[in-house]
Amino acid sequence: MAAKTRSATLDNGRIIEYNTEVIGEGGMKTVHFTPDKSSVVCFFKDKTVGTDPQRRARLQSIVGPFNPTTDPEVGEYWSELFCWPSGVVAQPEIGVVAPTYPANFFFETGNFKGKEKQAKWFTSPKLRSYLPPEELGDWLKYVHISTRLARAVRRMHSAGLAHSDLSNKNVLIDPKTGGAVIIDCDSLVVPQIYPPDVLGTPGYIAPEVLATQKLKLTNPKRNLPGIPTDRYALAVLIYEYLLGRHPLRGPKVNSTISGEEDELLSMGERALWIEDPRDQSNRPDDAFLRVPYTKLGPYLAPLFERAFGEGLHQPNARPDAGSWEQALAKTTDLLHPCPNINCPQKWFVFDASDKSCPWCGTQISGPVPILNFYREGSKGQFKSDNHRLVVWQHQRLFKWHIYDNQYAGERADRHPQAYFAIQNGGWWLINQASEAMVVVAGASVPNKLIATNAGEILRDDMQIRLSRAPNGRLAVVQMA
Amino acid sequence: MQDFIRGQRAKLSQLAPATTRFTLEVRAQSVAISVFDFVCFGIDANGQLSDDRFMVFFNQKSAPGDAITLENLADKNATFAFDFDKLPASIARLVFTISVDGAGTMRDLGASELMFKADGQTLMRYAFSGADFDKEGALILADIYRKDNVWRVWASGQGFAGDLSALLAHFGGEVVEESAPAPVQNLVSSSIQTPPSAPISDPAILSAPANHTATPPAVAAVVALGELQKTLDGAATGATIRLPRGEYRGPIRIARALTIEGAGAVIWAQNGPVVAIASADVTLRGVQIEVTDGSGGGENDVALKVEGAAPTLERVEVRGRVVGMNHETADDWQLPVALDLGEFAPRALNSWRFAVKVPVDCQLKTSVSGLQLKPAQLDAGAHEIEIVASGIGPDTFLAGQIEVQHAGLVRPIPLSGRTARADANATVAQRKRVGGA
Repeated sequence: MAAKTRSATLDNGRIIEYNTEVIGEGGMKTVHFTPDKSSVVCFFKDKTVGTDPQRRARLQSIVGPFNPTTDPEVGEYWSELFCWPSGVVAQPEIGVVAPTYPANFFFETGNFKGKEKQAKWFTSPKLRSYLPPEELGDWLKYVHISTRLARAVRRMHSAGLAHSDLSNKNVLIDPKTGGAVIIDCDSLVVPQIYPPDVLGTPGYIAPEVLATQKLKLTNPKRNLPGIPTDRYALAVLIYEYLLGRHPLRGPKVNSTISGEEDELLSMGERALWIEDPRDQSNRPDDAFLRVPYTKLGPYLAPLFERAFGEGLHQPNARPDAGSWEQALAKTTDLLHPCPNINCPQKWFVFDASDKSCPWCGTQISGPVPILNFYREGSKGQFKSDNHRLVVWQHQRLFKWHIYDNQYAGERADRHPQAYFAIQNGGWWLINQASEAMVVVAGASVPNKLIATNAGEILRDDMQIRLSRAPNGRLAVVQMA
Repeated sequence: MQDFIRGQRAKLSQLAPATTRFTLEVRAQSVAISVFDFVCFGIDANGQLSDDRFMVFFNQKSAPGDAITLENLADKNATFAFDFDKLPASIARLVFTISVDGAGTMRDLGASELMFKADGQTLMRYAFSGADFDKEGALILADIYRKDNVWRVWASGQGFAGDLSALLAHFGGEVVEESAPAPVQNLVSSSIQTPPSAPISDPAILSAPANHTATPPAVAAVVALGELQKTLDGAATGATIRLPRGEYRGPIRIARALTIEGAGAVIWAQNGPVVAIASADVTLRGVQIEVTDGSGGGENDVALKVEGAAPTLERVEVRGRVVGMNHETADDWQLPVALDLGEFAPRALNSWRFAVKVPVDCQLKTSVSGLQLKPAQLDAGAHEIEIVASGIGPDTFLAGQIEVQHAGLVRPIPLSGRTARADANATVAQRKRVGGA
């Protein structure tokens, strides 16, 4: 039997059909499918949303000028990172139209078939054991998930928007593909238009918000969700994705009066990072911290120190989303596959000083080439870019490695420009770019060209000009 | 029928006739919460769900042997049936839970009830509502447990902060951390005999969504073997051919009056002559001509060959020999193949010397800032050139060239070097000889 439908009128006059059956209902909205199930129509339970001009203006701003998914160049990319509302419903009552979550964000098999893939299923070792192995993904996928989330948050924040309730419930992840999507974007905090509706989700609410939650909303000392609190939630999520633990849940007891008060203090006023190097009173045992945050490499570790050290109680000291995105993108270049086929994580951040996988302890044998990138400052003078690429069989080189003005973001050119391969113990770089590379020093022939489709064996201290075009980088090879 | 209050317990034998088969029915009411999850956990004496098959819920509606089954499941109510005779001895307790699927908390519960029945008769009823709870997302409603070999029922009504996943974590207990597999050694083989092959699968990169296609920037044009020659052959006499920046595979032969203008375009071939000019009134402007191999003798190392009248050349950079022009025979030019300045002290005054011999007056320039060449103007003949470096910061690599310029032709001498790291104890200026004439 066909579902019963009704018509809704958007505030731009467009009419869309929706099924009368309620498929979901939350604290704030009731949700209906459109007949083709490509979108959902959500009606606000609080009917004053429609009559309050500020709240209506907020919705219109979110759907209109602040909407990244309508960008003609990269809108399609953003629409995979956000379930962004596409229209404001005016009749029969106030609401929004939003795209349906893509199918890969629901479990396809196993006990939880059909359920949304909320991060908590994947980040808790206990819960992971209930998921089908094919859903778990490898560690590289969690780096991708983190990168996409940081990128999406950076995009929101750069427009001045705050999500205000970033949590493991409002970010769906798919470790099978490395996908992440931010949902519930209709409560964003739009600058100058309307204050936040929600405090957030326990575990992701910034300490300063929890510590002042009992003050009146009008009290200037009351801290409300905004961009600095999103930064806290983002750091917590990335920490959970990459390390599978919450940064504040340690053994320290802050109140023996009640569990609720202990939670309030431990997540709020007395929040203390479990890996805080200065204060170890909340530090779990070494077995729990088998892989410390420092194993995440030279780009991520300092950000965690800022986010959960100084930034825990000083919102302005927290790293912004763009810093996380860049650090994650550069960390991707440090990853090495674990040669142990039974390794649970399969990828790790390569550290030249010990060459072992922190997840399973397997050592990498044989030399591992690392390309250290240098950018041209003054003409002909190349300075370190603090960016390096760890080489493994069939690792690729992209334009964001070759040029110092390209970035592995939403606009990146993702056509490989070169690849690496091992032959008879020698590591080759094979140029697939349209321009020659030049071995400036360290080749058998002075200033040797590597033409398109030609290759060169990498040697320690070899210097390769990756492109002679403006902004072309110099790579200095290190055999680790 | 007995009405139980929260926390009340009783032996089953006090409630029930002699049967082993029971049903437990939960009816929840809520306006704010649209869907609840109902689960029966069959747990062991240690309070752990040691056998996942005894977690009965919407995606696993029965336990082995139908010891527990989920019947009549709807958004807000559910009925479990169970038979003690079919339960294995390892199951010491049946725990019945309700949790919120989606938004809302147990504070939003309306008048709800749990009924424990046998043979269609209600033996016990436990009423609960949001007034009993606050922010809980899940409740343990009832426990049916074995103590001293007697089954008992307990209207526990115990709240949980999370949802179904929190309950699962609770009963999952201390699941052993994923054990670290034993390390594997020496898996990177050093005896692969096949040539390096191109990757066959998509690389593990920071990938874009699958359907996102990026257009490569129009930085470079690559022209395949023979394509440039075809373009030249098809051009009208006197035409100007503009080559966008990019690499063009030669060799080519220019047999009619033409102008080729390249904004840094590179015309290259493994062996020369790369560009042969066999016509008068040819102009080359802003191109680089490169021999990339050049071994094997003969004219293999010739970049530019002029067979007739001299062309007009404006900033044409050649990497390889030039033949057929006045003063442009190979033996008259003696330039270093490349200059490696090695590692030198940062921020200090450093100098190097190298020898050249040129057949014509030339000008020397360098593309590397911070370097000076003395002298920069050369008469025909042999010379010692000094390179002076000053004020170059630590940990800096130099990569560029010295250009020997004459009559529109540029002969590059590649140059490289690096300053020591800031922490290296090397502040003494260096004077040394590099290259070979």
